[in-house]
Amino acid sequence: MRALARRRFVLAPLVVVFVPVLWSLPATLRSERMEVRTYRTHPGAAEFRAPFLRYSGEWRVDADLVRFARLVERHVPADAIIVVAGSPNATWVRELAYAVAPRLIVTGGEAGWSIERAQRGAPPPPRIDPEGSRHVGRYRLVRL
Amino acid sequence: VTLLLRFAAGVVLLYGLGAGILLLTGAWRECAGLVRALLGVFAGAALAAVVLPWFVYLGVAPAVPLVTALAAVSLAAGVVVERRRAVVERRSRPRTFSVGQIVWLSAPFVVLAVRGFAAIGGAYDAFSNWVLKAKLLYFAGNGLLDDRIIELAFATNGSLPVERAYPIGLPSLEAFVMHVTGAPGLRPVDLLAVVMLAGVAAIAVLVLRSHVTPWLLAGGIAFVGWMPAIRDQVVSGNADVPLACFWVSSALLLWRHLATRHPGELALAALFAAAAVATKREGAVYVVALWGLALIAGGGRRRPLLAAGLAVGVTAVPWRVFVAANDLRGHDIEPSAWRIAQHVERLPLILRELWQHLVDAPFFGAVPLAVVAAVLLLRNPPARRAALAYLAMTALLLLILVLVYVNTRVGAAYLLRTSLDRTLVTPSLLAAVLLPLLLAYRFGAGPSGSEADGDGERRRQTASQRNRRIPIAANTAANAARIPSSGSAAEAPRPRTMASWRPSMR
Repeated sequence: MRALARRRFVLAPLVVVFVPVLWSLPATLRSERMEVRTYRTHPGAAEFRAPFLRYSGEWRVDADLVRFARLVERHVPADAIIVVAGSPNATWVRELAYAVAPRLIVTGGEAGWSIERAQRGAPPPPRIDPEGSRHVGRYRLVRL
Repeated sequence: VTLLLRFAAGVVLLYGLGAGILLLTGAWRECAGLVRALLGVFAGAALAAVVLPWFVYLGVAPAVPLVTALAAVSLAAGVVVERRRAVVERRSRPRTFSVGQIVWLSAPFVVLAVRGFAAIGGAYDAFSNWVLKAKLLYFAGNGLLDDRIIELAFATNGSLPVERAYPIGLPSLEAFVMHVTGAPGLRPVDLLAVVMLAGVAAIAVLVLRSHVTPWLLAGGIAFVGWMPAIRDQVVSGNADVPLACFWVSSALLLWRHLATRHPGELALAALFAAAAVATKREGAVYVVALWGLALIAGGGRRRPLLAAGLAVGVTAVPWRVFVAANDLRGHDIEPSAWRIAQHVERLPLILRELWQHLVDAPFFGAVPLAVVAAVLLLRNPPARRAALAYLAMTALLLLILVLVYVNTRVGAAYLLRTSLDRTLVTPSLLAAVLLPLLLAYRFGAGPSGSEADGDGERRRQTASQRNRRIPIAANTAANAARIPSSGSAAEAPRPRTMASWRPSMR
């Protein structure tokens, strides 16, 4: 009886630290495997090294924003200032600011470039843009 | 592969920086193998987070040449001090873990590193603040001569309303890792966070291994490593996991210092505390709470503790001077008595949300589990001080969080919803790291004497016993009452398990 009680005292703390781990392990590994697999299916985002992937009920990647950020990197010099027409708290503005750094994203004032995002469902911009702007999906880059 | 090799080179540089610290503090002799390696890298990261901002303020980029020079100075100083130290007898250090235990406790960190490398997450705060600043520091080149970049790195990206008054210790450290890897993104930052979490595990092994059985210790470390809430935060790019790692390490080392009175442990605790202050503003408040509790619990000889606390405060002077000179103010949170009085009706909401998160599955209920274990220990006189210390620390951490949410300038409901997942990482990490110790006290699951047998009778003596020349076998009960550490007191009835104080630490 005494040996049984002693063994129980040895096993009890192990149960406390092992059970939560073993209980959650399958779900944790499944979730992380899904995360890795999702990222693999969006090589553009991974290559760009920007955190365009985030979890909000389902895995979403704004592929247009990824392609647009790469376009900005290609065409806008590193020391440029870009004015963005949008709320500074909008996630896409923050993501873009991070992705195109050290290019400076501002929401007002003097700038050499401008970025706009059209409303969802708005008519697509003309194929030949008279201002010489470039666009990807709803995002548009204009040299001022 | 190139990124991994370059990251490994950065880790080696941080190890050089930290190895000097370990030699200077005498911790080098306390550990070996993987624990020493991880502790060295972690101490190097802490030192870099403290020191690199000073150079950034002076206009020197946190790049490879600077860290190499700092590592060389640190190593040279460490070697000189170590050579002057008295030679102590070489002991055969028994193996702490079996192969199975090593596999079990290291698995979560390996899987987490793979996740951090393969799936680049990143939370809103990471790419709008922490990693953004690191990226800007990285792009600033060899000297921060571009005023625009300086303004951005210290403040925010243009007119985006990001907290401007945050310290830049973590962005500076991350910028160094970006310099080494050549990758200004989240991937090296995620890997660095994994290394930091492994560093806390190394310190837990160092501090707890003589109090807890190997399987319980391995299980406790795996408990930390597999906790979903901590894993998600490690790969988020947020500053909360580094803050938690630095602060919990400081708490563990300070706790050990109260038992051994070894100045090296106090110095290491102060280094990690300074790194916590350099990481986030909450870090400063947490460190004040920790030092206050240590001063109350530590009994006599408060002067070394006060001196260490003062040194931690001095490390934050450049940051505070910069904030004062530029009149930077908090955007989301700014403490004021008026705000507390105005927002006091938010308390029920805040407490309810806190409780729901603490018992939530992603946190494994670590805090409630540890609190229950500690409360049960209150009836056990030898372990009462350990239990009280843990309960007081947790209560202070949660009180600080409540005050933060009461003082918010934005909606409390919004801030709670978007930030509790990360702000609760520090109390949860503390609870998870200390849970094996509390359980060991509660269920008597200390090691069966193998470590004590390996190091001989002298290691079973406590510092106070040797100083006062009290025979250990005849005085375990008196010793339990005298030693400030509750850990030593708790084990007093079982002298064979009391093997944490080594001759080299004196």
